[in-house]
Amino acid sequence: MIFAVSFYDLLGNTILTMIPLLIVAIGAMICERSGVTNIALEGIMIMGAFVSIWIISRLEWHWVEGVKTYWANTNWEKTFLLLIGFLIGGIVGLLFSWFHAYASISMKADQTISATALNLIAPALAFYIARTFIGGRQVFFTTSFMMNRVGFLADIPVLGDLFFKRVNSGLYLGIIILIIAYFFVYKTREGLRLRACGENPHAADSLGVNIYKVRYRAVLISGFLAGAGGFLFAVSTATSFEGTVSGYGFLAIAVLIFGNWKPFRILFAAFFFGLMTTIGAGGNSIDFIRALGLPSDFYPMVPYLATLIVLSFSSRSSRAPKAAGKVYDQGTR
Amino acid sequence: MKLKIILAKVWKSFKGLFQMSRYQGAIPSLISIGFGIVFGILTMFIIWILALTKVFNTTNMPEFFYGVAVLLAGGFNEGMDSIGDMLYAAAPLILAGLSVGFAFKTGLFNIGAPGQIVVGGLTAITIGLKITLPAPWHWMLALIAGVIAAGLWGLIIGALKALLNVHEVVASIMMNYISIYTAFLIIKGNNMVNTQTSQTLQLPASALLPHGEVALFAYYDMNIGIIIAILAVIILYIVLNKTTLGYQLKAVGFNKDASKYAGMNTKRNIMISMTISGMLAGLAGAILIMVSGKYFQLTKEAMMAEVMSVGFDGISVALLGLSQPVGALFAGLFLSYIRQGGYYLNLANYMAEMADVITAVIIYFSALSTALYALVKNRKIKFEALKKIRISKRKQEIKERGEI
Repeated sequence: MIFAVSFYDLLGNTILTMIPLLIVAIGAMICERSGVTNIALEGIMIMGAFVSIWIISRLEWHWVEGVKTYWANTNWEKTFLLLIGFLIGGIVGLLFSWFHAYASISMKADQTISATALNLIAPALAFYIARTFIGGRQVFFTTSFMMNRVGFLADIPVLGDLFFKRVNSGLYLGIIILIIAYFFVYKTREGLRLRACGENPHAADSLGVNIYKVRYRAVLISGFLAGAGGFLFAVSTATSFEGTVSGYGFLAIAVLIFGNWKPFRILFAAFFFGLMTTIGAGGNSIDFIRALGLPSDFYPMVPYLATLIVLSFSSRSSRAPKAAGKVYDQGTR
Repeated sequence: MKLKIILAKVWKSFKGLFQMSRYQGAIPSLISIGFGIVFGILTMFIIWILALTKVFNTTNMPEFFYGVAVLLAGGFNEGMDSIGDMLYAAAPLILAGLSVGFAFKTGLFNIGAPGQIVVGGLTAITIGLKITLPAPWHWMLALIAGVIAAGLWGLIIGALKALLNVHEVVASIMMNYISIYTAFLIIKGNNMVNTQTSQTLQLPASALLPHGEVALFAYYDMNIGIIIAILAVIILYIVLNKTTLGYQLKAVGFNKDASKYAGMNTKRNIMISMTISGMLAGLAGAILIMVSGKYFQLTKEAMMAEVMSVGFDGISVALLGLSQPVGALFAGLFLSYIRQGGYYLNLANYMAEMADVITAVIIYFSALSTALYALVKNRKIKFEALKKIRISKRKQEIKERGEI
């Protein structure tokens, strides 16, 4: 039975790690499918997480205090607060990603450069604002967004243990976003246009698709998802935010490439990475891994090493969108 | 006879230094630097106003005019002392910028420079602590070993890209994290750590870069890092612009398919350019760490903030320097200058992060500025064309009147 407990622990932690990755990677997928590389995800995540955590921490103090007596720390209160944070993070991310869209689409700038600039500005700005207005680098919040059980659903034998106990509502948001993204990209007219823009923008343009509009939309969607994903990352790791998302924005790009730019393969890639991270973090608490007797600094390396190995076997057949990363100019045909 | 030709060549290139058209490439960077600094001053102004009007309460009132003066004075704030500081801090930045810029030139985005810096530093520490040698050979060996190790680390990324088609950005990011934990493993495994402070041990004096109190820099403890950096700039300039290898590498960067068609071995070239890029980053790492009072702090956060951040700054330096070796030299100096300004901003009750904000804004505008510059240029051409048409029309009118 010891194995069973650690098995659920393993999967639970895996889900916790993979959800922000999944959401951000899906945003990145939509963006790259339209032909714009977005390595600014890291910066957008930081910005979204910073502002939303800041506002959430204020809400906890002033506003929810009164409500708390009524809802008394129910799952609903947590979910409600999480949704607010999610939306705020998303909107901030959307606004912030507009800079990338403007530079790389309207001004035809190099997409790497403008994205790198956003990556640089986000932590600097977060630190600057935090130190000027809050008085320290860290923003603390008290609500723990983990739900112990989700009503009667938690009583379902296996699924209940996996998906309805000790999870945060981000899980359900993530799954909904994954499904919507799948239908958007593959089953709608907009999605077809999006894919066309990423593969052959000139052909799409000749058929009357407004490339600039489609790309703007795609970048803003990815900004929304990245900002929201940043918030989910921040609430699922600690009870404070300190101007960093520990490279999750870059990892999301790795997940995207590992997932070969396809939604359900991205889900798999995110799961794989989450699992490896959990194994790495929990290393010594799992029996058969402890038996190997490796030094403790080896475990955190596991997810990165595993991803690299898997990628080196699977990358030969990987195929990026053809026009990804290239500036679109109507004049160059 | 030969001497005369050489002299003539030198004179010609010297005269070329004073032709303004040679510096046109730098105009976008200068424009964006201007924008960045204006943005920084505006932000400081807004914070000043907010503090004056008590929108937020601070115990330390920011002083706007003093702050602006301090920021702009940058590396000159405390005379020669801070200039020395600036040059000392600039050396790793320049080298990291060279590394990233070189990869850019060959069509690769080496975001793995931070990891290569860690490996370079790690190797230098290992050689410094585990081998005993007399002074000049010891630090030279440590430096060269660091360069080679980081070159191999870069080669791994290049080989993954060339042979197995792994995207170099992803491979680099993974290798960055792997480098941190590899460093921990090796440092702890070989007892090179001070268990109380969880820092690496102090390097022996023979393994430190030659340094000394230079009278010129107000007896500041200078080392030869900046000289090495300038040498690297010169060597890289020659390799890129005057050799076949450099030409091939650049050709692969411009158009992979065309260079393959022309008979170049693109796979080999990708591996070579990643190796060279890694070597430069490794040099930066070794120079960074071979200084008295510099350690590896054995936590992930500290490594990211103190060692790897140099590699990420390298990206800014490369972008601001337009991926040119000489550009990286000036961009590295500038970045270090504005950082010094940020450091002294604390005196005016502003936060030092202002310098980072300004740098980021500058990079953003440098992405825009090529487009802005093209826009301005087109306007100018159009304007001049219109002027000519108007003048010729007027002349015609005058002629017609005269005829009447």
